[in-house]
Amino acid sequence: MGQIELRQVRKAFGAVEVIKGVDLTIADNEFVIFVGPSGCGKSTLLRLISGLEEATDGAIVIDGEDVTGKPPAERELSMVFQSYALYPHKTVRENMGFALTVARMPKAEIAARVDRAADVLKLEALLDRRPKALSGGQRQRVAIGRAIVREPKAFLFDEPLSNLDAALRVEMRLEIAKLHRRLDATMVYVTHDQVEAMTLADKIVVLQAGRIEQVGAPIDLYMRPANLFVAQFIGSPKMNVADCQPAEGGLAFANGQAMSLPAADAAARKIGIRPEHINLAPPEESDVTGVIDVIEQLGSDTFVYVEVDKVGLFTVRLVGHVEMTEGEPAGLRFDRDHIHLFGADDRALAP
Amino acid sequence: MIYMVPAIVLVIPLYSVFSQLGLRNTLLGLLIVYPATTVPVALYMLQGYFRGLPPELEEAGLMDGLGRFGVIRKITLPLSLPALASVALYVFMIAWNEFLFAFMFLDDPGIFTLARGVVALDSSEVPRQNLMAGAVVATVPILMIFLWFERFLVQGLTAGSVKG
Repeated sequence: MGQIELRQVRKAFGAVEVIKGVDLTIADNEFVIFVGPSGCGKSTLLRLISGLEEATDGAIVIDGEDVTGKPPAERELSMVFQSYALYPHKTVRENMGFALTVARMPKAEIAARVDRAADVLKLEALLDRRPKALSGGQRQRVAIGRAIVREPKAFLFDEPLSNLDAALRVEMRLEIAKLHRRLDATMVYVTHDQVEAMTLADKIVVLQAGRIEQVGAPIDLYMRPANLFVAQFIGSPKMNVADCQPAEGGLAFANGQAMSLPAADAAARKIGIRPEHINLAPPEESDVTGVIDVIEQLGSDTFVYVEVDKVGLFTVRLVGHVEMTEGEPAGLRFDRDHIHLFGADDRALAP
Repeated sequence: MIYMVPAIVLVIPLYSVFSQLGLRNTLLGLLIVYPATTVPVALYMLQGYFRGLPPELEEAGLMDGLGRFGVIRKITLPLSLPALASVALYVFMIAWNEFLFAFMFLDDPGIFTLARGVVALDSSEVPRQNLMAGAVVATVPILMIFLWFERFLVQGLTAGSVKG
């Protein structure tokens, strides 16, 4: 069990309000990820749930019980810290069993639980070592193990993978996904990594400046962002956005070029198109034309940056290795099925 | 603060106050003076160390079900052992070697501190080399304590707890 509910939660540090009234329900067994730019309050929100920070206003309810004023010890949650925060004076076994020792559980039971967690995380060989004799990935696994043995109502992860190198991060990401499936537990996860958010989450919560911008399944946020901020935040490389004006049968751009889009809303002021939904086309078939500024070859993909005079820089993602020359003119054709239009208030307009 | 002014400045008022309270020429008087001068130094040295401990460790303790005092007892203090040991040794040395207060306050040879006692032997009858030997013997307890404390002074006890 582990249902978490936030009701109009606010948090202020002195005069600065960092969480400005958040309403959110996290269902049992759900994997929820908070994303947002630095300083948006995602870590603070996690610490509010954990009890390490006390909410200034509002209520936090876990499994129907109001825990707003209660200390972390009474909330039965586990947290995995970005810096691991292992106890350096204890061995791996003592680290993992510490919470149970504090709870005065019988020694045999502690040993059994630690062994079970160590088995899941492949830590058996390391149980008698101290944290300083472990590598980064092993330390992270111990930190996760310490969370598992408590069998908490929910797991809280505070950017757990950001201190690992790229290869290890991918590996640990998979392990966390497997762990979630195996444990069937509620997980709340904070990250600024796009890929982690898209791959792990059942539900993504996009935060900006202490407010929720949008909540939804990863692919929903990708396909149907509610506003310009979410559109540009989800997806990498980020969505191209250009100013536009409604025109006869379509949209007109600042450089005088126009594109046909009969269904376009008359309120549209900005057009958004993801790099993977633009194709290079001959001038007569293209919507806008520009000059290739930079080409990035990634092997699996080719990113082409096309500068369109007075409109802006467009990123185009082509699959595979494509030979092109910088400085050449290029026509861009937008995939009509994947165009996002935004009004003057940056809200998405219905397609 | 106490080390910002010469000790002699403190001795004079303390001398008059202790005389009136009947604490002069007693070991109790010194027992009051020594902690009063060394505890601030100890706190000053330790607070830097406590602040240097990663806050996540204490938060991890809170999440693991400890209360505030539990965190101090089970996490902060064990991690601070090297600092506690070195500060304790340092403070003991200050008190052990202290001479000025003992010289001013104590008249009765029966309660002389060691440093004071060695000086009291200084007369034309006692050869210089014996005084020197006394001074050397006075350092022995500190040496012993240091050897015993050394095992707490392991460097890098917090290494490996957090990244970086």
